[in-house]
Amino acid sequence: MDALTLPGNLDALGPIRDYVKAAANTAGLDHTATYNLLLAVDEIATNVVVHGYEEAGLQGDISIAAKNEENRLVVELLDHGKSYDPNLHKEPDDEGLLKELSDRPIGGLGIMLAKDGVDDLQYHSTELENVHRFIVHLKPPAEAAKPAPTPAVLDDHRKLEILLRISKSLGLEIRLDPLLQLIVAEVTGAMQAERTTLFLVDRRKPDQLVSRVAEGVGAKEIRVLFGFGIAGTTAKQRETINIPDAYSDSRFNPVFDKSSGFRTRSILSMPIIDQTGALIGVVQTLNKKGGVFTKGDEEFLEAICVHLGIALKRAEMVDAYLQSQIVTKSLELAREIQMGLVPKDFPALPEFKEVDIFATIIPTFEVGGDLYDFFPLDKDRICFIIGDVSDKGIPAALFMAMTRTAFKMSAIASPDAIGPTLARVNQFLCESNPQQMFVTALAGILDLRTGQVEYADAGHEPPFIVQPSGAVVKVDKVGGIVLGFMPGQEFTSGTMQLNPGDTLVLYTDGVTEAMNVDHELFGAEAIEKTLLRTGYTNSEGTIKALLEDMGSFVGEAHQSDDITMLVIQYRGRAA
Amino acid sequence: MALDIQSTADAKTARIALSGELDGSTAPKLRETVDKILSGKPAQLVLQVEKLTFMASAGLRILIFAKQKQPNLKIYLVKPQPAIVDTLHKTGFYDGVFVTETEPAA
Repeated sequence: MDALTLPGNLDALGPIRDYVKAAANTAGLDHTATYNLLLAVDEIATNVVVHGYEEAGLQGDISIAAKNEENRLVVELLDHGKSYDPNLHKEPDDEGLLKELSDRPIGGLGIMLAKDGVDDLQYHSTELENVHRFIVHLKPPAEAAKPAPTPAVLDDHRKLEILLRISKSLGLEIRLDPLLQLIVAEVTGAMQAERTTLFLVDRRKPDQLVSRVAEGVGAKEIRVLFGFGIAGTTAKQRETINIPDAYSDSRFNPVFDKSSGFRTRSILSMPIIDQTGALIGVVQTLNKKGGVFTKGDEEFLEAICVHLGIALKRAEMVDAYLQSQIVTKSLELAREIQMGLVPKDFPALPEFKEVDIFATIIPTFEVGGDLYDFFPLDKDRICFIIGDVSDKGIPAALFMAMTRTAFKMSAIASPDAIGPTLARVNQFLCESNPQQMFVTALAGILDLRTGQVEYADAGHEPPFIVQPSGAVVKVDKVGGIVLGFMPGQEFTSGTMQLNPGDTLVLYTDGVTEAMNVDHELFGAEAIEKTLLRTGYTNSEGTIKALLEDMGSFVGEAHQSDDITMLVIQYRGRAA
Repeated sequence: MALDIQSTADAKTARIALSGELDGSTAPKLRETVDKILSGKPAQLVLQVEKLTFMASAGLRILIFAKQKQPNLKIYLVKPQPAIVDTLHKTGFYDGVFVTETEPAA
């Protein structure tokens, strides 16, 4: 039948069904098969319109064409929207199907009906178009499966045509998963077989094959050791194996037939070798329709395998590249989550007029191991912490998140003294620290009534206090050992007095150890110098001045450590 | 191919008669009708579907929608065509609704 092309919106559904109805009628399908095909095409066409076009913000046509091929009716649905591969979508599982209607997930049903409605639903997508092929056998499969007296022989012209088409479509598909689906569908069709399984050499265990696409087995993975079974022997000997009767061959393992209910008769198993001569995988096609695989079939599959080798190698490279893109994206998300762990809204704690707090955190990589936090314990006291995990990147970020959470929970649970709080955090970190990381930290409780700070130190950088006169004092703190290092460690607290107007400047070693191109360090002296030069200002102004001076010191050099600062200015309590 | 929707409701029973084809293009209209009719909190929803010749998964989603909106709702499908019963079986919906040959008592 001539193709029908319509604008890709939901109004196309009715005319598409009319077209399919006519095609099914011409092909002589019975009522049930016709309805099931109608439903299958309708579900996929709906997905194409809704997901491929509308949700993707795209517009375009949808075309449908039907043709009778030998003993099957093939309906092709073509579109130019976003690729939507029905074979990659999860169908509702048995559990989902048994749920109460009100508890059921809403998606997946359409694809299930589509796959169920036809003998085969194939999909492939190129830069030019997406094609869904619905295949309905015109004879009942039981009859088709009966061995015919003479093997069907493909003429050379048809083989050449198939080979050209395979080479072309493989050339257009660069993503691995759709390519694998495509290969399997093409091999089954070209070889006039019932099923094809594609095994690839496991990159992590190079003496094993793992099935990537196995028709009729669903998502279940089949793993085969080199030298075992037909596929494993093919891989080990790198030779084609052609078996007319599987059950009379000792290498055949019938366990998969038993679990899938499929009956294997004939097998053609062939290694796929890339241009460099390395083994990529094994393609195994089962049950030649109406006979056994011939020498001609072997030669034909060999020709196809040359193309498979090239396409697979290229797709694996593309896949590796895409994986690295995914990692980048995950890191961006991790950064967002981590940045959400520390208070970022300034002015902070606006209900507490006694303090002016500002803080900043600049990780070296997407995520980092520095932390700060501050929160009220009650109406008179504010608790704060600044810390630095001994590592950078993702491991440090996870440890940072643990530290921050443990600290806040511990401080709120027993808000009376800071020493025991750090001791509990230390104990917790020691118990869950397989990587032997540690954290330097300085934490304290500021009494808003008196300006007194009770603090405890875990090997952290000494803070500075800027007085209203502009004088800068380095705090001579009571020392303590880093967190996560020694279980059972106790932390002695010290006190420091903040008078109204005093500004407490806390920082991590990313500030003091900021490095310029000559590998010189910024240093605590430079912090002191900046604070003296800037004189008395608010918390935000203090941090801005420090960042500016660090920036001009570091110049073109790369940031080498996470940089964090927390500045608390005590303004006294109005009488 | 349009879908014709006729609805009536009393305190206990909402009735919707459908004829034609229920697909992705006609489902939104039905969903709106169901939404409106369920605001009266009927105990049962009776769908007369004898003249419904086609139902895509969009129709199933309306059943889910109705059940999610009102979990204790009893849904009756009166005289569905065999192909539609088949779809209900395949998708496990058959046990979630009452398929009957006659209209339930009001």
